[in-house]
Order: sequence, then C-alpha cells, then structure tokens
Amino acid sequence: MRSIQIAPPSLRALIAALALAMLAACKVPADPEGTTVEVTGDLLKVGALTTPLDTTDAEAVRRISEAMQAQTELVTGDPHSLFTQLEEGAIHLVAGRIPANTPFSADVGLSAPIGRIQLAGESEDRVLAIRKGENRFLVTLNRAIEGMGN
Amino acid sequence: MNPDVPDEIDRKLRRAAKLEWWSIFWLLTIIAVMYFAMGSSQAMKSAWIEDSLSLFPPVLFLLARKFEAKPATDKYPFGFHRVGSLAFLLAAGVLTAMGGFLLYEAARALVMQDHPTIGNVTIFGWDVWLGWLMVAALVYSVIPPVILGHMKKPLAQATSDKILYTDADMNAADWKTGLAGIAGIIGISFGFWWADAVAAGLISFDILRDGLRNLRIAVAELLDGAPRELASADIHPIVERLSTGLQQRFPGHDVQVRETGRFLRANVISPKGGELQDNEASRLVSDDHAWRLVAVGRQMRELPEREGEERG
Repeated sequence: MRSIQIAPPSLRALIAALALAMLAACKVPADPEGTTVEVTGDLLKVGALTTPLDTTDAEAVRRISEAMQAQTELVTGDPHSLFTQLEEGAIHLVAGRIPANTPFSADVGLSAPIGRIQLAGESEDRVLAIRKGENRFLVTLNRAIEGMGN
Repeated sequence: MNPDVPDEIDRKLRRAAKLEWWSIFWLLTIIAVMYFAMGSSQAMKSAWIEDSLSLFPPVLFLLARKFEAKPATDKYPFGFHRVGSLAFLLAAGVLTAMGGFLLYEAARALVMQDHPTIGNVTIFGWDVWLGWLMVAALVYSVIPPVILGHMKKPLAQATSDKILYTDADMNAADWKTGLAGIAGIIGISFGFWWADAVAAGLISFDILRDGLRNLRIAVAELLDGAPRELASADIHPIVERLSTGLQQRFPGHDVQVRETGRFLRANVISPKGGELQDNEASRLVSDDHAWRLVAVGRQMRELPEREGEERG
C-alpha cells in the first residue's frame, strides 16, 4: 500500500497561512458594509414594527444602543418598507414582535432570542432583524442582549 | 461469498466492504456535526450536502456486492454481474446532480449578493463566533474520509470496482472540499461576503467534473462499449492485449470485448459464413419478432487450444 500523503507541500504552506490568518482574526468577524463602525458612538437607526415598541423590544434596543454608545432613532413604517430599508442599509435594526420563523428570514439576519412571543397560540423565540452578513454587528448586539432570551 | 472471483479478490472485496461500513459510520457522525455547525454559510451547506450524498457510493457498493454474487435465475439467466454497472451509473448520476445543484446555488448567491450571516453561540459558558465552530467541524469532516479513501483506493484498483474507486477518489479529494470551506469562512471573518460562495463554487466545479466523467464511463459500460479505465473514459489497455491474443488463436476473426460490472466478456466473430441469415432467424423465431434476433453467440468455457489455462 502506498504511504498516506494528505497534501502536497504547496498546500501545506497554504494551510499554514490560513492558520496564521485565523490567529489574526481571533477577535470578531468583520462587517462587509461596516455597520458596527457606522453605529458606534453615533446613531442607531431602528425600524419599529409596532408603535410604541413593547417592553421586551424596547429593552433590547436600549441595551444595544448603550453597548454601542449610540443615540437611538426610531423609524416607523409598514413591514415591507422597513425590511427594504434594512436590506439597503438605511436603517440598522428592525424590532417589534418578530418571531424567529419570520417569513423575512431569507432576506435578513436574525439576532439571538430576546424572549418569547405568542402567535396564534404558538410560542416562538422573539428576535431582532439586522442587515444580512453584518457579522460583527450581529456578534456585538448578541452580546449586548445576552441573557434576555432565558 | 462470490463464486466468480478468486479467493484473493474476494478477500479484498470483503475488506473493502468492511471499510465501507466504517465509512458509513464516520459519515453519519460527520453529517451530524456539520448539521449543527452549518448556520447560513453557503460553503458549509455545500460541504454538508456533499457529505450526505457521499453516503450513496458506500451503500451502492454494499448493495451491488450483495447482488452480484447471486446465481443466475430464470428471470436473470445471465446472472447479476451488471448490478455493478447499474450502481455505478446511479452513483455517477448522484455526483453529477450534486455538482450541478451546488454550482447553481453558489452562482445564485453571488448574483443575488447574498451576504452570509453568521452569529455567535455560547457553548459551555464560552462565547464563540459560529464561524470558528464551522472551521472545526470542517477539519473534523476531512480526516476520516481522507484516511479511508487512501485505504480503499488500492482495493478498488485490485478488484476493478468502479463504485469503490469513485468513492475512494471522492474521499481522498475531500481535503480540497474541506480546505475550500475553511477558506470561505475565514474570508467571511474578514468581511469578504463573497469568499464563501466562491469557495462553494470551486467545490462544486470539482464535483461536477468528476460526476460527468463517471457518467461517461458508466454510459459506455451500459452501451456495451469497450472496457474503460477506472479513472478515465480511455479504453483499458487490457482490450488491446485480449484482442490480439484471441485473434492469434482465431485468425481472421473479429474480437469484441465489453465489460459487465468488474468482469470482462469477449466475443469472437467469424467474418464470413457466420452471419445469421434472415430466413434462419425466422426459422428460429417464426413470428413478428424474428427481426429482433440479430446474433446468436456461442460461449466458450475453455479456449480450444492450450486447454486448462485459467481465466485472469
């Protein structure tokens, strides 16, 4: 039987480079569109699906703006225009009784649960919606709302 | 177990079967681990689907081995040697479909500019970005197949088993899939949303190419084409050797070689006087179906000269 050769030398170099890259990136993932940098110390624009936001959603938004040392600006509107604005980056967050199985989940990113929600007798995790792929922002806000889902 | 193959080959097939059972076991653990780490990464999804579909070749191999050894019956008077061909066509079809699907998914993600969202989870009190868990899962998913693949390959070559060879080849190439997946996740961690879909696309290209090549080989076998090599659609050198050898013993005759599963069958055709005449056929099958009889062959268990020579 031939000896087992996992990878040729050129690939070993690539693996080593990847390992170094992993060490360098050990902090948090980056945002492709830079949401975290945009919001931090500035303004968090929140699309509110209900006016006013109920206590759980309001508390989550308060914690996030506090963690990011940002002012909060509420934007109201119908669900489709709010989610479209979120996809385009005009607002940073959509809140207001969003269940984890929301039909918008294909087009937006969802936070960790911030509580439960009753919909037609079924109990679902309550979440916040963010722009897709803004992973550093997602990690930052998940840390801010940590413990709310329990 | 299989009366048609020598002990040596039978032993190797048994060993291969054992390895395939192990493959199924490890694949199931990998599929479970990958499922929990999958999240919404395209490359992870591709790798997961690939891992799930790589269950097919081991299962098909085990089924084909079981059926191949069965004796001929009234309904299947030629026996079941070609079960291997059928299973190989299925495995190749699965591979091709998988490659095509993954390529479509990756292209769709790139065109739609689908940014993969990967959050963090808390495990044992540690707050970890799910991306690092995916990398760990991918590393795990590479190790068993690569080792098993390298163990299966020599067995596949010795037993001329195409399914086993495809399986071993896919397994041995698994590190490429894993590495591409890892590169995709690391790309995301740097904020390159497209890295993931590009990685998935590269993986799928590889799968699609293998699938199409195997499909060509499988189709050739089902169309009674000349026996092909295990890893390419080129004609196996054994055909040339066999044809020359038989032509020496039957001067002036034509030789046709085809393959049924792992076995070879050769026909020696006399060039003149041996053709079936129309009226002969209708005498044998005297009805509307006479036209369907195009040839009557005579099978030789032993070659007329130099008797006692064993089949290779």
